[in-house]
Amino acid sequence: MSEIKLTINGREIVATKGMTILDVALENGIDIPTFCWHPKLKTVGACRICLVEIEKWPKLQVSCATDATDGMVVFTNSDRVVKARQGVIEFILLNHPLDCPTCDKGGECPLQNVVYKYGIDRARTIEPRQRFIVNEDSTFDDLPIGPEIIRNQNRCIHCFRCTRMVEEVFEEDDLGSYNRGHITEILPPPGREIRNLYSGNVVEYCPVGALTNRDFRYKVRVWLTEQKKTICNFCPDGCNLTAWTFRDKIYRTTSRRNDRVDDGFICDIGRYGYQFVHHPDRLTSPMIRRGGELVECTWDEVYDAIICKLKSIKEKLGPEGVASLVGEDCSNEDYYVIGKFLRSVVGSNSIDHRLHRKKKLSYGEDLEKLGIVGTNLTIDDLESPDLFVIVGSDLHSENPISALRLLKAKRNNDARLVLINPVPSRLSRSGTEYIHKCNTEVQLITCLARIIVREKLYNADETGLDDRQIEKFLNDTDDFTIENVSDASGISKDDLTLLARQIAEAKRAVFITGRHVSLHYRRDMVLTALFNLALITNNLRGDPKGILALRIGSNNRGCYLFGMRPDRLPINRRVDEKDSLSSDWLTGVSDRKGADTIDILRQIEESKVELTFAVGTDPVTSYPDYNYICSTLTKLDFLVVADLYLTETAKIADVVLPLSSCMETSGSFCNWEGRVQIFEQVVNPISLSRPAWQIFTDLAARLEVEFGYKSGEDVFNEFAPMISGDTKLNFRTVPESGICVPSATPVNRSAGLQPVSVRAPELDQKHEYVLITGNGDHHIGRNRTTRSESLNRFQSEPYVGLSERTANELALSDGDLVKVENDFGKIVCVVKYIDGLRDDVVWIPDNFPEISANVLKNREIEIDMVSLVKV
Amino acid sequence: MILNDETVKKIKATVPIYPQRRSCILPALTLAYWQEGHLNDDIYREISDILDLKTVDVASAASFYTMFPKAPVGKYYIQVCHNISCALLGADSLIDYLAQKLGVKLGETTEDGLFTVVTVECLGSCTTAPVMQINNDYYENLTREKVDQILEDLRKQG
Amino acid sequence: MELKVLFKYTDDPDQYKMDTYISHGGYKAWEKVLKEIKPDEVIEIVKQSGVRGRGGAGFPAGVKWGFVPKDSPKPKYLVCNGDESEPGTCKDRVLMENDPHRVVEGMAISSYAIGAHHAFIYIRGEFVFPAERMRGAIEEAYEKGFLGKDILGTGYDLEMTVHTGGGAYICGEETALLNSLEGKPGMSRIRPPFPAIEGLYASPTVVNNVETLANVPEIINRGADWYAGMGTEKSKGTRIFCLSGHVKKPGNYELELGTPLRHLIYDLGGGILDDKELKAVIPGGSSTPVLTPDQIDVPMDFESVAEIGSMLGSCGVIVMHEDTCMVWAATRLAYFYMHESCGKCTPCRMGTQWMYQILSRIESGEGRPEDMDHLLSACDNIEGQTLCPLGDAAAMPVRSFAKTFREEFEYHIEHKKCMVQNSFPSFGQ
Ligand SMILES: Cc1cc2nc3c(=O)[nH]c(=O)nc-3n(C[C@H](O)[C@H](O)[C@H](O)COP(=O)(O)O)c2cc1C
Ligand code: SF4
Ligand code: SF4
Ligand code: FES
Ligand code: FES
Repeated sequence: MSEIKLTINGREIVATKGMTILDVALENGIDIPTFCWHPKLKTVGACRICLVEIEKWPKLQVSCATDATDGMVVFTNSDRVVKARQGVIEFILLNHPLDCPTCDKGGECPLQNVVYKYGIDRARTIEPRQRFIVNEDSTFDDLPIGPEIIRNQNRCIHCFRCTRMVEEVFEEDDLGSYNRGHITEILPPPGREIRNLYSGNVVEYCPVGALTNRDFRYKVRVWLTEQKKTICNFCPDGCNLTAWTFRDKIYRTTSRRNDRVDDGFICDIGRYGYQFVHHPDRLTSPMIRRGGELVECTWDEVYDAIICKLKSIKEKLGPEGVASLVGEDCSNEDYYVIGKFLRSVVGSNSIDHRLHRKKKLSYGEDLEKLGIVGTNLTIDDLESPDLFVIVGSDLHSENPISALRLLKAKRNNDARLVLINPVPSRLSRSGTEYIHKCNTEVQLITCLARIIVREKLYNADETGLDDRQIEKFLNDTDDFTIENVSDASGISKDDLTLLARQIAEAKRAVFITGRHVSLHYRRDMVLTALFNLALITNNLRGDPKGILALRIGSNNRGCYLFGMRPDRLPINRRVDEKDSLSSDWLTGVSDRKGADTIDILRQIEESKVELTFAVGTDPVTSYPDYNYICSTLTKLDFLVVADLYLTETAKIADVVLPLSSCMETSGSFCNWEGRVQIFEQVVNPISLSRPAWQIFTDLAARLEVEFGYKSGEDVFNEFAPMISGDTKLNFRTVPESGICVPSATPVNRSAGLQPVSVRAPELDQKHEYVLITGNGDHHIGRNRTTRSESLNRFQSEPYVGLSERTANELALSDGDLVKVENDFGKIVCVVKYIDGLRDDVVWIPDNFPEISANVLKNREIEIDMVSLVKV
Repeated sequence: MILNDETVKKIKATVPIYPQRRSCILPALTLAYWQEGHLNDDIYREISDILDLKTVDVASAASFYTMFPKAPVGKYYIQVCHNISCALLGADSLIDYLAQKLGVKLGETTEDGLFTVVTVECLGSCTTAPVMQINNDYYENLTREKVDQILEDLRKQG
Repeated sequence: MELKVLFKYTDDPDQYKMDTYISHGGYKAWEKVLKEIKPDEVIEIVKQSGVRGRGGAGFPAGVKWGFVPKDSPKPKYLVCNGDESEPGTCKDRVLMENDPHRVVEGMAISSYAIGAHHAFIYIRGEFVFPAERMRGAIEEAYEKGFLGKDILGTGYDLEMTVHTGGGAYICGEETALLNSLEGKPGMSRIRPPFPAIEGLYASPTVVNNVETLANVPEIINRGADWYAGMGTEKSKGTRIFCLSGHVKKPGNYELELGTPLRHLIYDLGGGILDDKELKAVIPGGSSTPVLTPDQIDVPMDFESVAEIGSMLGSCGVIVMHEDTCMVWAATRLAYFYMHESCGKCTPCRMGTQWMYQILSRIESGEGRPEDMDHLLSACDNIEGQTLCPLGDAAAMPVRSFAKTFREEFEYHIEHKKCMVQNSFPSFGQ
């Protein structure tokens, strides 16, 4: 890259060739107003507010679209420029209603700011301002154009940021511009609404009050608010947010652009999800069971009750009589303190965050050795591959903002997106999706590898694969011929061949797995098969390429990092490696593995565990066996549930502790990259609630162990050196980029091709449909998003998704009631046709309180099968 | 379905012509207009289905182009040029004359559903002004007699 | 004096047919180029001829072709601009209707020169008949083997497609045209990148006017020198002038460049209608500044017209006699530009609306004294500051009317009535 020198306003500036004048100016703190330009959008040069004067150029030029060149002499504020900008402003104000006092953008409006700076003190335009009349009586002309978005076309200055963003960045199709000239207006396509998962961003990017959202409009003036830095914790992407508060109440959250992570965009779940914080369902007081009823009590009372039980059970059963289940959305601080409490104060290693069936869905030690559990890829890295193969993931709803990076790669380097999924996903809008018969992933992936090998599309030198290995692989996998696999998976032979060739062709491929793989009965085999495929195509490691096994649970990585497993300590050290960690409290910790979820549950049945803490987790609705979990948990002598709401699990607890959410304390989360990012306390704890780290600090104190934490920050400061290796690092000095903790062992290429096998799943043969669950539109998880009024505007009720054909065969139409049942339970709900769903699949969005799909699940079984009956 | 088989066939036939499918939008809109005499939201949806394109792209493009009426018009859609060359030769009085003769205001359709009169910008026929276009045909060097004759002929055709 | 190069056969009612075109020497140039001349040499010949763009800007055609990168791996495209929507202009239509094969042949040669294998002609949607003629000619050319695969056994392939618009003046602007051809709203694109580098489907593209390309076959047949021998030093060849408005014999006249405007209006056009006094002439389509009677001795070539402050533009000569109200004329045009602004950039979208608002007030007697300043200041803030030249096209005529005939505007404002009262030949009388 070559260096250039130019002069702006008399100042000599060194810049890089290829930068625009605007880039150079911004980098050097020179202010040039912009409306249509935005760093995340293609430059269109339309609004003309950024005009500058360039010596020897007869006309003023738009700085956003003019390259800076060597020797250029630029003036950004000459009389000519100021006059031209005033001209542009005058034009804009010809129609822009000066309704600032009643406009929600007031106080943070780029137009207002620019007019303030360059404005003229009298209007020369006398014509009545043009209106897009929606309501004759109100000059606001507010038009709802989506569940959340309200349009006021009169205010629009036609920068087209909104429509460009929806088309370019989101590749969605629900907003466009219509007509032309001064009557151009912004609307969704005929008969539709703007309701894509990223729709809220248009409000944030609109430089005027033309697009506002119901969430925030007319609630509070921005200049009265305080802003706090927080991190979204609905999915493992970890977008950076600003929370806007007034009188200890959150009024909105917006993107706090961090190019490494979120690239300046957040999804609607991150934007509107915060509403769960102030929901009236929040627990306001500790509760204790008295006479069979949960009644409110004081913290002292519950603490006393817990300590009393803890002591007696420990006496009776030893420390292992106490166990803890934790949810995956708590903060690192919570995990750290819970772990510390249970391991060092109680003396039990029985702690787990996973909700396994009886047969463990494991990644296995072998896989860990291969180095494909965890990842060394960053979100940023996802911009450069030229192929993405997504296996078993609705990436759009599981990791919405990471998904945008794939689209960016598509934009920037024509990356190709291929999806191999059992159920259709929204990202198919931007790629090719192959819907396969459930549970044929291993065969499919292996078949692709075989095609590549047989067509000799691999490079023996680069991959280090010799003929012997290849031969063996072909022999070992000779069941997976293209014919067999095509039959089994339902994907045509041509498609398989095409797909294999595309994968072979790619220079940098990333294979991404998600929910369906992490819940897959043979997820180890799926990943092993992917390992082989990546090895054969030389995509195991190197430039951004490799396998990315994404998991559910927003702070799932924090669970690993802070040892929320019976065999792990902080930074994922094994319990027998505790000496490698220099921390006092670890000395007394047992180096025997504790019980994992399955064992904890078994030990409860066997009365070997009698006290269990369930923190931020609701197994009754989420453990894949409703009957079993209910009967097991009720066997407990003492169940302590700490949560935000009175969850189904809380309802059967002996004591219930009101938990504070992450908005009510400070702390940190770890996103899927292994990036630990900190968040500030946004509001005071709701009512009497307390954050988990505090509850366990309090409990420790009652057992005469002083942790001494006064805030999440204190906890962070204790473990920060541990995870960063930097003894001086603390909450105040964490860089914007967070702390990156590498998560995977390096990929082991020399391991060579791995054996793969398929084992037919154990399934219940009586029922003909496979049940698959996932996220509803604008929802993640069960308890929080459904308590956001805004998100409920997108979807508020569950349904049973069927292919139109399946529905019709059962004489069911969209909206009819259907009973989904098997030997374990039943659900009655309305039918919805799902385009592209296989005929043998029933799809249920498992977020809503009305139904919970785990009543149909049984932990002994690997695949959930159900029958359908018209009601 | 609004678009008939013939139109659908013609729209589909445009697909192989262009390197990118989105280019088929204007030809498709034109074909739909020729069949229906106007365009509307349902037509946009049909076209986007036929071409497997986003409805927003079809509708947004259609709305930009003013040649296509967006609501039903008379069987004969009379578009009178009112731009400068025609206006210098009496386009305004021609428009008045037509409106008066047909008993409609600009943009309205006669009761028999036959005629709608609108003004349009320069039709690219300025040397033979005044000019009007009725559906696909140009009528040039207009005089009062010519206009009477044209209307009469069209009425006869019904 | 008329000098018929392009119009040599346009009066022959059968010229649109392949056989007639061939009998008049058609497709000889195409054959010659394919078999004997290398693409670079074709570009060189066209450069030598000095033929400049007939779409309005007058950019040398050969030079433009030379901008197409030879080494680009992307496909290249030729797009012939038959949008012809500039008020006062109606020459391309005659060529497309009456001599379509000449346009096809010109497009083919140009495609060959720039290495394109797909050529498009974008014709305004209203031109149903000219488009039909062009389609017919292209079909015949395919049948004869002048288009398609392996043309005349030379291994060169060329597809040719007629694409029609939907009613939008802005689609004559080349980048808006390309967007429109891509199926998008016809909004202009920022330059750079120029179409020669990133045009249609982001590939190198040459856009040329119909008339420009129609010249090419004869340049090949008769040589660059022959062509360069016509016209003036910098404005070579002939152009089709569209004479409209208040003249006795309006029509399209092909003249050598440099012919005085007076000759066109008085000798060929037979003078002013009803023998009234000439008041104003727009020389190059509605976007060009208006001239007054004392200026009509100007030779009609790019340079001379520019020298007196106007432009040759698209050669649409609009004549207005003494009974024409200049405020009215300016208002009419202002309305047109407001209607046609694509709406992408602020100064044009809003400026055209404001200009029209001010003008229509002045015209209807509701003007205020400060309006003239506001109007001119609006022109200042549009001209040179828009994304594409439509803004200039809108501001230039308004400014020139307002300045040249300022007293008429002021009369309107002061007296709340017109100084002249339009009295046009009511049609049919
Ligand atoms: C607003 C506007 C309208 C235009 N309309 C036309 C047109 O109708 N036909 C045309 O050939 N060029 C038109 N042009 C010029 C084209 O942008 C382009 O310069 C021309 O087609 C190039 O061809 P040429 O070099 O052969 O003239 C227009 C330009 C502008 C700014
Ligand atoms: S609605 Fe807002 S973002 Fe969209 S074009 Fe108008 S001003 Fe720009
Ligand atoms: S000058 Fe007018 S036509 Fe050109 S881009 Fe701007 S708004 Fe569109
Ligand atoms: S910011 Fe440069 S033109 Fe809009
Ligand atoms: S002005 Fe009417 S056709 Fe050109």
